Amino acid sequence: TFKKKMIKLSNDEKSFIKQSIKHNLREDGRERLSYRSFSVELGTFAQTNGSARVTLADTDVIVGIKAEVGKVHPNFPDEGIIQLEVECSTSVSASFEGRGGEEMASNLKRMLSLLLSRHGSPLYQQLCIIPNQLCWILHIDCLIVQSQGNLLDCLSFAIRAALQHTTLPKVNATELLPEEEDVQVGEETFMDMNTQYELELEGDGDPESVMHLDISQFPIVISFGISEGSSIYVDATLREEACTGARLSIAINEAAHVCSIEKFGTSIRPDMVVSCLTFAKSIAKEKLDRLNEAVSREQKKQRELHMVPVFS
Amino acid sequence: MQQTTTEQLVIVTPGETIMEDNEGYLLGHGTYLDDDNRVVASKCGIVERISQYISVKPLQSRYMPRDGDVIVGRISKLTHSSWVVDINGYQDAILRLSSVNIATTQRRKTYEDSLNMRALFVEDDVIVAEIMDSKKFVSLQTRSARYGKLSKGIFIKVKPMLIKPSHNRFHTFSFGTEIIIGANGYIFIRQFDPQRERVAKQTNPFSLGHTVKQEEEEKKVNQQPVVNSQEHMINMIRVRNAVAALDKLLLPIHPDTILKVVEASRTLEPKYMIEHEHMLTMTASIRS
Repeated sequence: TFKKKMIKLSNDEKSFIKQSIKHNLREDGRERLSYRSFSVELGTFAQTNGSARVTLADTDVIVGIKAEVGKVHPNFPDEGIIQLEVECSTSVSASFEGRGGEEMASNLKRMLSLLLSRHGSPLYQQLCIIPNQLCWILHIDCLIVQSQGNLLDCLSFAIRAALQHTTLPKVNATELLPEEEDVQVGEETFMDMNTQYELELEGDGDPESVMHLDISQFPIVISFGISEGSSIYVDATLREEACTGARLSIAINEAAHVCSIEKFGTSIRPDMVVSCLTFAKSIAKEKLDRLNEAVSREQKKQRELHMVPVFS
Repeated sequence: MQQTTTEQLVIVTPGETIMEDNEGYLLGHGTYLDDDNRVVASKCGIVERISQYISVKPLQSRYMPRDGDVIVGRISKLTHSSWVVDINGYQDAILRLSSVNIATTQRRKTYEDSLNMRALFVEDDVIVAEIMDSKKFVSLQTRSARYGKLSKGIFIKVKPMLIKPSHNRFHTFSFGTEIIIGANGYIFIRQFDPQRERVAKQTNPFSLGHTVKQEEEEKKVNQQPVVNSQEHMINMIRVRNAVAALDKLLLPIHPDTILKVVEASRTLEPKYMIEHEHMLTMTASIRS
């Protein structure tokens, strides 16, 4: 796979790393179920509806969320649309051969979409403006600034933090009668094949009149590596990733509900899956508490500074 | 390199003004004088000022090979009579079959030897070798018994500019951990093995870089009781994390600095050494 091009390990190193995992004493001193420390920064980009930067030791990702109004998806008429894109920064792509960076980014996009997008969840339903017609389209753009392993978890933390930070203006949409054709300044008109709508910002564009997203059920991803069939560990470094065949990623939310499980690589014993699920619950709770704490701290800071979100 | 504290490190990008007026300073690499007599950076890096000399030292530079340097390399591929080795330079180096020590007696390599190259080194193996010649292309030799394949240890990569010139790249700490600091920024950390050292000394009486100080240290290690392997592993991890901290904070990587960081880390569990606040406290004595 693409990853092997990036990190080369001799057979001796691989067996050394596998032994270190087995003995619960990894190359950087961590135990198997120990994450590196992570930090969250919100509001990285002022021109977005929401943004966040998360660093997991040297793994560094930025997520920006922009919103626009659009037509609903025919299969999900009473929901909004979320589009996810992942990009690898040039400094990270440079360490790959050929188009490895793009391949990695598109793989991550696919995995994150599988793990995180859940139609029917409160988040999607909240994005609906007029059922069967209009909805919010969220563009979630992820940028990988630095990669030192465990991009999937790091990206999921950042996406959740950015969503928590996102504000959308409250809008009222009224159907235009066929005769009305003049558009007044300060209002947007949405043209639809069948119906025309007039969009109005509630409160005449008052910055306080915003909508926060309900991410109570939105999960984060906890990825496990299973080394030598039975050594389960989390937060792999690049070197550890390069010698672990079996990986399991679990998307789990605040209610400790499992939203999605994806398995990659070689085969795993079923009892390993059960163990991972048990570990995921306690690990996710701790990470979610940290994330929520970071978000509320940042929001408090912004309120104190009277900072208001800016939207176009 | 004149040591400045981390807070004083000035990082510049091409086009940034370093000084408004050149004031009799000598301009070195990565700088130039523009029309308004300002000193401007032409590279990304750290501003280095040694008395009257200003230069910009690039953060991410590759290793420039020099004859006689001892380096740690990774086998990239095999040809019919040589190995191509990645040495973190602008080009890969060549290790010819004729430059390798197969048996204790020197003999000409036969056809069978070239078929059995894989018995010695295969792709991705980590080796320690010496640069023989770096004029047209870089060639390596592993004729000393100290050189050859490295195993049962931790490999880590650092920025080559942090490694000071030194005649001895093999260093053993008093707690039994051996570190090989390749001049090219590739480092290997493993447990010191007295048996291996004895063999190395016997087979090559001219082995370079074996100082008196190291012999005394080795005597100390041999006299110590055999420690369990868990403790050895923890020491290796401490050294590895110390090197990572020095690399992250752009400090010189040398057995003295590594030892200082390891000593400062004794109050912590090894896994906390990778956290930024602890990196700063452990390296405080070096940065001041």
